Amino acid sequence: MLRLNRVRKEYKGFQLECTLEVQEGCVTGLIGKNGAGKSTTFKAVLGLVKTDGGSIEIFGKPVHEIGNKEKEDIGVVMSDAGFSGYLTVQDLIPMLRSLYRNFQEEEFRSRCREFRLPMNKKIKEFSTGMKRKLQVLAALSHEARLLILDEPTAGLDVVARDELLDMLRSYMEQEGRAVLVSSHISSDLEGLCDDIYMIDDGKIVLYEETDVLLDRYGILKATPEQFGRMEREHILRHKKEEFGYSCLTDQRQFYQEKGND
Amino acid sequence: MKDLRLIKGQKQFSGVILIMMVIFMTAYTNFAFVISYFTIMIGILTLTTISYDEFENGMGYLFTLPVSRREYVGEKYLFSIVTTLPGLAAVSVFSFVFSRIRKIDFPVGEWVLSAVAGFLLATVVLAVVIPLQLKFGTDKSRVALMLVWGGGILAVYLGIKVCEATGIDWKAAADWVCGLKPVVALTGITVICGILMIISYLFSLRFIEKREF
Repeated sequence: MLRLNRVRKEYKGFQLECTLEVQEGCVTGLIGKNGAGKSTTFKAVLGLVKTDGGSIEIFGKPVHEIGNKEKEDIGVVMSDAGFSGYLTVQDLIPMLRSLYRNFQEEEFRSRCREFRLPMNKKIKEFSTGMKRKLQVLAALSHEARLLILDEPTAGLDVVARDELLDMLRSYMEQEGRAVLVSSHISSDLEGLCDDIYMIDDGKIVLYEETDVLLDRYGILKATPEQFGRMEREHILRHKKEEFGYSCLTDQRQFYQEKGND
Repeated sequence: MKDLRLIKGQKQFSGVILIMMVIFMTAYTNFAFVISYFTIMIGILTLTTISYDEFENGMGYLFTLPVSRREYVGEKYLFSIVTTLPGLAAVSVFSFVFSRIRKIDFPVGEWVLSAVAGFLLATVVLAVVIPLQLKFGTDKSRVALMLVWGGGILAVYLGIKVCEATGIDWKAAADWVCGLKPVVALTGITVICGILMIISYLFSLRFIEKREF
């Protein structure tokens, strides 16, 4: 559905270099701290920034060949942009109807009511969470085949976050769909994603299926003495902390058996 | 459709234009100025929709929807013409009616000329401002606009000085233009404005296609 091959984007003091793939039927997560390159990756995929190298394909087509017809099959949530704040939800409905042949108007209206989004209030007066909900509902409203969701849960309370994640799970029940979703909150992605990429300082530093990640990976916390005695062949990264060391391993079971944890 | 909704939401701005129009029509005697002034004001409504699109990086999000950059630019120009023409027609009709009610001398020939001149003036303003706004955004485009106007005035001034220094009689050329028949002059200005609009569109397209969000 979506493939990024060695995509490069250079800014002053930052360089993105990203390879990732989202397969049909999969929810792929992109996780990383703020400023790691998640939004730049999304913007490159959406053609909002020009890349300095590499290639991006959506539905098997180079991204620069993606036209309005293909865009109808893509639903988008952006972390730093949205509908014009001077419009109301009521204003958006005829607009979405004219843009998307498969716009599900009744479903959109009923979901807006369910999420308590005012129909006649200007969007600029919405809270951050309400704006995010609106974008997600709009992205889900036109039977898109691919969802590209940059921080869709940011600004949402716990209940709204769970409701939204449930909606995404329901969305994936239909065949032929895929989702690329980012978050800096790992627990959001754990229960939703089939596989996860971790990005740091513009580079993909880890890729793994979520089940494997949850089953095999772990953080070991060790005092300096324990760290000194530790067998480190399965330690991927370690970091100095106040109490000693935090260590990332992809063989949690090994250390549990050794009793080093 | 989005822009019509945005304009519909600008009740205050539209109300101010309407009140000012009534004041101008009842207090002013220079109806040629009134027609040009309000036609430009209505044309500027188009530019406010670009500002609204840019609010909170909304333009970037817009291009993730099934809207191409080329369509967006084309729509802005089309929308500017579609909003300006009925506005011009309304202001012209009001001016004509008010001039007759107030018994102010405003011959039909001058009225037609004022309406056409108002439209052409609005066209020039839009042709300059739309690409600037798409290139620099709402805030920076104001500075750019001042520089462009300043540059334009300076260019005319320098042009005159160069003509004087090289012995070219620019006044004769100006007299020749002023002496043209109204139909010929208006046709010429319309063609020039049409070309200006096409050049402006091509610049806008180039700016928006290069822009990153």
